[in-house]
Amino acid sequence: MISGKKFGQVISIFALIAPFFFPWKYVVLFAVVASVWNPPVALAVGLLFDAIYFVHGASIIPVESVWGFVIMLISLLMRRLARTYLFVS
Amino acid sequence: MKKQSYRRRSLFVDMRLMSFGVATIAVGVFMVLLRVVMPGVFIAVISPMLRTGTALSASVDTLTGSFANINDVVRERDALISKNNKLLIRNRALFARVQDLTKLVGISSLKVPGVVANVLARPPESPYDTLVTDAGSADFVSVGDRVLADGGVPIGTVSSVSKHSSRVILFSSPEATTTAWIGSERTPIVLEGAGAGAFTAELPRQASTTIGDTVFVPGYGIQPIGTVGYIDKDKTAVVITLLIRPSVNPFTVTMVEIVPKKSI
Repeated sequence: MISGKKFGQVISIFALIAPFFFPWKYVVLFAVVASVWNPPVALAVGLLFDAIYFVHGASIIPVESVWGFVIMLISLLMRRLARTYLFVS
Repeated sequence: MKKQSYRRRSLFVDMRLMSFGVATIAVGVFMVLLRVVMPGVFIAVISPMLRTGTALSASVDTLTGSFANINDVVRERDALISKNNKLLIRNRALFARVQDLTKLVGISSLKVPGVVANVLARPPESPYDTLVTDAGSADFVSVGDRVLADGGVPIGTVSSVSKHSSRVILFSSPEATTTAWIGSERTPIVLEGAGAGAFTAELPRQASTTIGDTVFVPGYGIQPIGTVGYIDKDKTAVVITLLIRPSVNPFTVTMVEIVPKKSI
């Protein structure tokens, strides 16, 4: 039986290689799921997306990196709130 | 009495996350730096994965297509065969006309030099309506060169070039605007990218435009880029909004021709 931590690492690695193989909507989904276990994955996937596909003219700012950062912050906050709730209850 | 101390726990720092989280962010930062500092090496590293991803997505499309309703598929096939026959006949007529005109005028159109490039990544893998191709400055590709798909339909322009690759912004990219003409009257419009291969444009309400009108962009003469698919007539607005369907589906482009901007 795989532990939660190992599962989180496996799905994080899967999210990191997904930008090469899957449409971007599925990659965003994988990144959001992986960020439940490992929040920095969302930022890493965003950076990877922009490294591969971003060009000046397609967008003013590297949107995927910004969204990755936002999802990472939300995941960190949700983890903190969940831990506090479980600790209190 | 034993002094109790409490370690303040930070919202953002959790030692359990630090090692693997830092590693994942390091991977992302490394890839960004690699693209900026050594774009040739970056493309060489990611090209095999992009090609594999493109091949996989084509296989998935084939697999999901096999689950489609057989009657719809047969109907569509018959319609396409009929349309193909009509186009063949028209093509032969046009070819004959070109031959007659060539004899009459005594010149023939020159073949414009272009570079044929494979598409390494395209929408929907790419979220920005951009293509990544395997032709770069080593193949005399430069920024601003126009990119043509099947049938010579222009689909975008080269926006960044490295030695063995280039990135193409499609005309349908949300930040892109392109001058164009519409219909037999060649009414000038400005195409605005709507993403996912589609365009929008606005015309004065009194313009006579119908669904099916062809939209052209400057090229060798003029080049068809799409057809009007829907007209949004808001009764309170002084303009009508056209939704334009592209002639070429960027989701299925596998090879493109890159022509120098000087030749257009």
